[in-house]
Amino acid sequence: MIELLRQNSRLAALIAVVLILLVAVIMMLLQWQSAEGDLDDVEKDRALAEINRISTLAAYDLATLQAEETQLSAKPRFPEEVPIVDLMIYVANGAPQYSVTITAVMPASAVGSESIGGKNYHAYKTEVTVKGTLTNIISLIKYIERGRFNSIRIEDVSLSASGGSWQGKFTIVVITE
Amino acid sequence: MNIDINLLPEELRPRPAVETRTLFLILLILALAGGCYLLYDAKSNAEAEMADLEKSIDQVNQQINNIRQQGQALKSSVDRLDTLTKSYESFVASRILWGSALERVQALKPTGVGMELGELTQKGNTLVIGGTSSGYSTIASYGRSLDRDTKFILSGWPKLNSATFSLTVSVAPGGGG
Repeated sequence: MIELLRQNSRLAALIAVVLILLVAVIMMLLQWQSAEGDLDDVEKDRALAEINRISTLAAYDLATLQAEETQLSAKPRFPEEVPIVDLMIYVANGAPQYSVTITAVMPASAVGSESIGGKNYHAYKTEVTVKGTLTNIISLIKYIERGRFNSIRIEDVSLSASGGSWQGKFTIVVITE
Repeated sequence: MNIDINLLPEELRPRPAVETRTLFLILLILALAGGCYLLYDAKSNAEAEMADLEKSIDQVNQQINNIRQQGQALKSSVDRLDTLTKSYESFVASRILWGSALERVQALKPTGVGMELGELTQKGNTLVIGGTSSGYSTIASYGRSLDRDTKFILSGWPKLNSATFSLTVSVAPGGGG
């Protein structure tokens, strides 16, 4: 046998190379098949991810939500802060404008809260006492109510005639977020 | 007819440069090597494609996360704005503009019949109107005028006691507006 191999050493080497290559081909084939299988799985995952993306886009219709947000942002709502200085100046300016004298302004010691539409808001109350004619006091109340402060409400109005003039007491309630 | 006779012993006869089986083995080696290369190339391509797909899946997943985050943020913003808007609308709808209501009360008062307003007191949506009057017919007439107005509803009978009258009206929300 050894003699035979020695005589055909070239042939034996070639056969050895063939065997090695055969093993290599088989290994490569197995690896390729495994890679193809993995590729199929990843392609399925990619398709699934795309479906998820489309369904997420449908679930969160961003364009519609953005349009809704823009539309709602433009609608009037309660201010985030009390426009205290502006309101104070506004009321003070209104008094001489309607020939009414403000005799007392008493802000409530604590900030109240009010439930409106199922949500709680801050309610800042200030009691104002005025003196003037009935018509003028009513005009001042109208002036305050119809001013640029859209979250104002007048309550606890009490007006009484005293001599030739009237004395009025009312509470200005400012609602804020 | 030619006859090919070789008188040399077999081991001395000239051999072909490459034997047929050797040639076959060389060709087989080449084929196997080629196959090996092709399989390696295919496996590498599949792996590269898989890597690309995995990268793409990551990107899609990132997009899905972004859409979800943006969508949730927009949704909560829309919900918040919607609540605020509804609350504000509810506030405006239920608010009584007392300035206008009192102006109307004053305007509807009969004139020149010995009747004078002396006190206006508001609590909630109720307004108690008090004053002096020379007769009940004037009060009744005033009460009817108020009740006929879309903004007021007369509550009970107007009272008159020694020329001092009092009548109570409830004011519709948005009243006086």
